[in-house]
Formats: sequence, structure tokens, C-alpha cells
Amino acid sequence: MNRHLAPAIGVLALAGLAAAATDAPAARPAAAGTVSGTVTFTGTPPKMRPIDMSKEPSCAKEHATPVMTENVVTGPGSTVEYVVVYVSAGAPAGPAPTQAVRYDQKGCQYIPHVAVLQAGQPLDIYNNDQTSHNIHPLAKVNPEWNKSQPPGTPPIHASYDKPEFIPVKCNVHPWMHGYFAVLSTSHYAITGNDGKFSLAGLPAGKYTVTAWHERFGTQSQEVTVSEGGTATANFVFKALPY
Amino acid sequence: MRPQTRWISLVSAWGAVLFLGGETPLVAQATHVGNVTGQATRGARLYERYCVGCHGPDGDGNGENAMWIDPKPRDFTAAVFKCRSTPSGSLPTDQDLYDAVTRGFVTTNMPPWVALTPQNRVDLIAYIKTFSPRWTGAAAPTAITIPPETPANIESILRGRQTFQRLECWKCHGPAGHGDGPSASTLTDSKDNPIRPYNFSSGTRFKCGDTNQDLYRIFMTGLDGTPMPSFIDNLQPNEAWDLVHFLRTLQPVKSPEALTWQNYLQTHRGELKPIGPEGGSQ
Amino acid sequence: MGKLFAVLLAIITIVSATIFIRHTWWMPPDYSLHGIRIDHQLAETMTASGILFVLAQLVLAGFVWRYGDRTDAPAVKRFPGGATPMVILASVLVGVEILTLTLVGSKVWAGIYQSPPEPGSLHIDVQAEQFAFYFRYAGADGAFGGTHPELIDPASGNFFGLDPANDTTARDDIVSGSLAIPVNQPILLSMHAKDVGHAFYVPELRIQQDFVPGLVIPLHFTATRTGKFELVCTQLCGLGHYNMKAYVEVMAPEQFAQWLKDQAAQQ
Repeated sequence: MNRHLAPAIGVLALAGLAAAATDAPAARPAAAGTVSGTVTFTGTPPKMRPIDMSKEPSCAKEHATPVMTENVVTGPGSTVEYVVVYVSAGAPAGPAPTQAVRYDQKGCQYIPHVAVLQAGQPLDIYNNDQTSHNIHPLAKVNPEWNKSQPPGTPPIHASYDKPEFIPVKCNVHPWMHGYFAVLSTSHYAITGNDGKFSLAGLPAGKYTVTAWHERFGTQSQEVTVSEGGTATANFVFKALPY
Repeated sequence: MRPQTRWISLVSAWGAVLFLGGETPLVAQATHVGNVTGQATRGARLYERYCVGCHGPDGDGNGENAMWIDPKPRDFTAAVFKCRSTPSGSLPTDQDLYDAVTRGFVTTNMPPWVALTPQNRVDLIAYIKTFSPRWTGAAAPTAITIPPETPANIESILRGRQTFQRLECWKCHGPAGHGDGPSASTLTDSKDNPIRPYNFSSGTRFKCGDTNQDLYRIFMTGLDGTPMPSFIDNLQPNEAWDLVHFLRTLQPVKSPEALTWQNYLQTHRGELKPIGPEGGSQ
Repeated sequence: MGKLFAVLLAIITIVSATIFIRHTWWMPPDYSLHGIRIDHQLAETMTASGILFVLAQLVLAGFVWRYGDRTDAPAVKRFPGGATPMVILASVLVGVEILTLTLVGSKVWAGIYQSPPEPGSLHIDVQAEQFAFYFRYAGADGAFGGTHPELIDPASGNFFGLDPANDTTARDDIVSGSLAIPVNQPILLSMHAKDVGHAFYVPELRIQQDFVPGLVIPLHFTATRTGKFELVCTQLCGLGHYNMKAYVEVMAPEQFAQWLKDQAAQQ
């Protein structure tokens, strides 16, 4: 053998070992899978009603046409909006993010209608209106509180320790209604008008996926996610006109 | 009709005609108090104006205001009434219902309806009786007999005190009648709402009247719908009067019984055996 | 000092009387059928008490001018009998005046509150709650649906606890946050409170009535002019009382019929 080849092979072998060392399994992440689907309804859903805000002219004038109640919002193709879809079993509860979720009171409405956050995650509640609001989340598992928030005051900071679906109301404006969906998992989504959701970042395995809607209730499905794959889970709720 | 009654009826007629969503069959009940006869259709209009907020359009005590008040309004569909002159388990007489509406229920949200005319009140009672089928075809209930009151002397009071101990009234009402007996905190009414026994030291009138006859009637007919039973099978009439006399000594009012008792206590207090678990059967 | 005070007294009396006589800050015009009786009663009360007020204050000013700086009190001593009969006479005079106004006024009140509503009145169910008024119309079937407190759900706009699923008369009931009424039409309101005491007042229609929880209180009136009037809560009912109001919209009959149709389509 050539006198230069042996050291060359040795260096290459060392380089190969080094390369192999850095290519250890921990350094190469398994491809995460996704669960996605659409939430729809069968039957006739109740009609949403226009909200009469005439008692609060500062809010009424912010809406060219009256806003509608939002407890059952549907989209084209019989889709359902504001459905919270989340992994209720199979994934460990993640640490609460430190990024606050924002909840606005604007035009005497809660925006978003359903705010999804994790247990322990900060929640900032803003009053953007010219009138006082009296924000009253009706928690049963978490402590219930009730705070007045005059216009122009700083946001209220809150957080909840336990998972719960908490209805929120305003004592001064009876039509205002919303929800805090406090979850223990970081794998959640809320459907838009197209009824679609997508839960990404799920390692391969079996999960229970739950869909919650404030009127239609809760449904769960078992889903198996393959490595890097997309599993489909569709939910269909039964709707009644009243 | 007095102008007041007429306008109430006419005005309420509109309310009744358009509000009676749940059609109650207005069976013409024979309702008499004194020489006044009640008519359920007139009573319906009055009910829609004065009673529906608490007692509900169906008479089941589920009016829109009921959730805010305690004790809850009477559920007429059950036909169970507290203040009667009839035995436990029986319907009240028309006079009993009339007295209840007139007197109201002190310490509760039921006001005395003396502002309504007697005719109005009897009409209301006639209507209230249509909420439960128990009244249809029922014979008029008979009141218990209340014999004349025995003298309220110290012997009577002492015997009454022994009865209070023996019949274990103190278990709910407490040894001194403060409503703090060992069982008091556990009591619920027939709808499982918490209820407290009468506190004799509070000085308030009894809900079912405030004379000695009323008091006699209370524990001899029992307060149906509550844990307070009827003691008519456990007491002779004179024993019952003794108990009435003793109970008066528990109240902070200057009744003849209380004065007799105060005099007795000045000299004989040490002789009394305690009331309560340590009092034995006396 | 006494003379200065007398002058001040006279000035204050004349200025305040003038404010009332000239209606400087007065009620809005009356757009109801019954309101004229209330306005007359108010005018009579104001005149009677106003004349006596001015006379009494000017007489007082006169006495203060003449005797204000004296330390003895001959005027009072000169009244036959002394101070006591004088006070009694004053009380009797004032009492008679008030009693007369009351008797006259009670007829006005009875004429408005103790008269039956007219046949064919439009019946509207009014519910007061913390902190809004809601108004219910019977709808096309002319019948109000039954109410069930356990079904009350503000989130879906079911403020009255209607049960349209099982109660067909409730399906066409119209629930509105505004009191829309046709002009020149007798209206009958059935007023009830869901929680605590409220009241409402519409100055232009000269109507004011308390809502007492537990009672259903009738109130009837006829509006004589179209327009939009404020209906405010006039009984302290909690922290949102300041914000509790609604609007009365008096419309031409055709407009009202159209409003009912539009509302019905949305229920």
C-alpha cells in the first residue's frame, strides 16, 4: 500500500466516525404527524338573531348592520365555526406558553367569541369601547371572578390553572357572551367559517381528539397518527332548530 | 263592584287572555269564605297580575322571581300547605287559604294581601285550587277540634316543659327554643331545600298566626311540606295546651305565661331539670 | 345685615319664580293623549304653591327688612295668641292647600291609572332586568308563548325563557330591545321585573311606572306623534343602572307593520 494512503484512510475513517457520532438518533427528529378535518352539522341549526344594541349608542353606531348572536355560527357546506378541537388524551400536557392570549371587548362584543388558551397561560382582556364593561367569567372549576373595566383603563390580566370551558358575560350588556376554552394541551385548533382544523406536531401514536361546541356539545374520536403522516378526523354534530 | 275591583279585573283581563299560554282548566270550584263566594275565572285575572311573578304561570312556584327568594314560593300543583286547620295530609279549608293570603308569611317574600278586597282574595283562592287535581271532587276538608284553652298557670307550664323534653322538640328547636337543636342544621323541606326550625327567641310571629289557638293548631296539624310533624296522635288536648303555655315562655314577649314563668324562676330555678340530652324523660 | 338679607330674599324669590313662569327648563312637549291632564295638574300645583311661595317669601322679606336688626320680637308677640296659634294656623293653611291639590290630583291619577285600557289595545310584554329592557310582541298568532325561567339564555337572545321547541305559540313571539309602537294606537304594557326593582320613564309620553318583582303591572297610553324617545330606568337597580335604557320608536302604522314583518323574519 502506498505510504500516504494508510494515514488518508485513517483520517477518512476518523472523519467517518466523527460524522457517524454526530449522526446519532437524537439529533435527527422523527417526522411529526398531523390530524386534520372538518366539522359539519346535519339537520337545521337555530337561526342567529340580530342583537339590538340601542341601549348602548356608543356601541350601536360601530356596526352598520346589527351583529348577530354567535352561539351557533355556520358556514357554507354546513360547516360549524368556533368549534374547539384538541387532543384530550395521548399527548403529555405541555408547559404553559408565556405569550398572552388577547381578548377584546369591541363594539360591545367579545372578540374572539371563543378564546382558546392553556392552563397557566396569561390572558389579557382589553376594553376598546367608550363604555364600561363588567367582565364576568362564570368559572365553576376555577375561581369565579367579576371585574369592572371602565373605558381607557389598562387591560385586565388573568389566568386559569385548571382546564375548563368558561362562559363569559358582561353584567352591563346582557347580550355579550363568549367563552374561555382553557385546555391542558398545546395541541388545539379552533375552526373558522370553513369548519376546518389542523393539529400539527404530533409524534406517531394513538390519540383521542375531542371537538367542543358551546351548543352542540362534545364529541371524541380515536385517531392514529403515523410518523410524518396526516390523519383525518371529521366531526358531525346534530343540529336542532330550537 | 267597587271601581278598584272592576278596573283590576278589566285590566288584568287583557293580561289573562293573552298570557295564559299554558291553558289551565278553570273548573268552577265551590269556594266560600264567610258569605263570599269565589270564582276562579276572576281569580285567574288577579293571579296574572299579583301572583305569577313568584308562583309561576303554572302555579308550580317557578315564577321568574322565584330563583332569587328563599324560602321558595308555594308550589300549588303539589297541594301541600303549611298553615292548615285540618289534619296532616289533608287539604286546607278555604278559610285556611284565605287566612294565608291575608296574613302573608312573615319573614318571607309573601306579603299580606290585605290591599286586595275580600272578594278578590276569595276569587284568588278559587283559582289556586285549580292548579292541583286533588281538589277536583274532593269533599270539603274538616278542621280539627280545638277545645277551650286550659288555664295558663305554672303547673300547666311545667307540664308543657316536660312535654317539650319528652317529645324531643329540643332536637330541632334547641333546649331554649333558639332553633339550634342538634338536628337543626340538617333539615330540608319536601323539595330538598334547606329549612330552619322556628327560633322562639327571635320574637317574630309564627308564619301561621300568632294566637295561642294558632300555636295549638301548628303542632297539632303539623306543617306539611316541612320536617315539622303533627303531634295530634301523641298529645291529649290538655297536654297540648300545656305545651302552648310553655312555648310562650320561650318567646321574648310579655305574655301572661312568660310573666308567670319569670316569677317561678325567681325562686325555683334550681329545681328544674335541664332540657336536652341530659334531661332524660323527665 | 337684615336689610341686605331681605333684599337677597326678594331677589331669590323673584328670580326662581320667573324661571318657572317662563318655563326656562321645562318638560319636553307632550306627545300622548293623557299627558295633558298631567300637565294641567302640574300647572295648577305650580300656580297654587307658587303664588303662596312668592307671597310668603315677600312677606318674610318685608318682616326681615323691618325687624331684622331688632333684638326684641314685637311682631310675633302681636299675633293674637302668640306663636303657637300662628304656627297652627300656618300648618292648617298649608295642609288645606296640599289636601286640595291631592284631592284634585287624585282624580287625574285615577283617570289615568285606574281606567281600563281601550279594547283593541296593542299588548306588549315588557321585562326589566339588570341592565336592559326587553319588549315582546305576540306575533302573528296574537298569543304570547309561555315563559319558563329555567330556559332563559341571554347568549342566544332568549331573554324571556320561551320554549319554541315545544310551544308553538312561542315560535312567532317577537323579542326586541326597542319599544316600537304605532302612532295614535292605544298601547297596553304588561310590566314585570326579572330580578330587582326597576322603573321606566318616558318624558315625552308622560309615562312613568315602577317594575316590582313579583307583580305584573299594566300601563296604558296612546302616543300622538311619531319620533324616537328615550326610555330610561328611574329606579336604582345596581351598578349598571346608569346605563340602563331603551328607545321608544313611535311610527306610522304602515311602518310599524313593516317593522313587525322584519322582526318576525329574524326570529
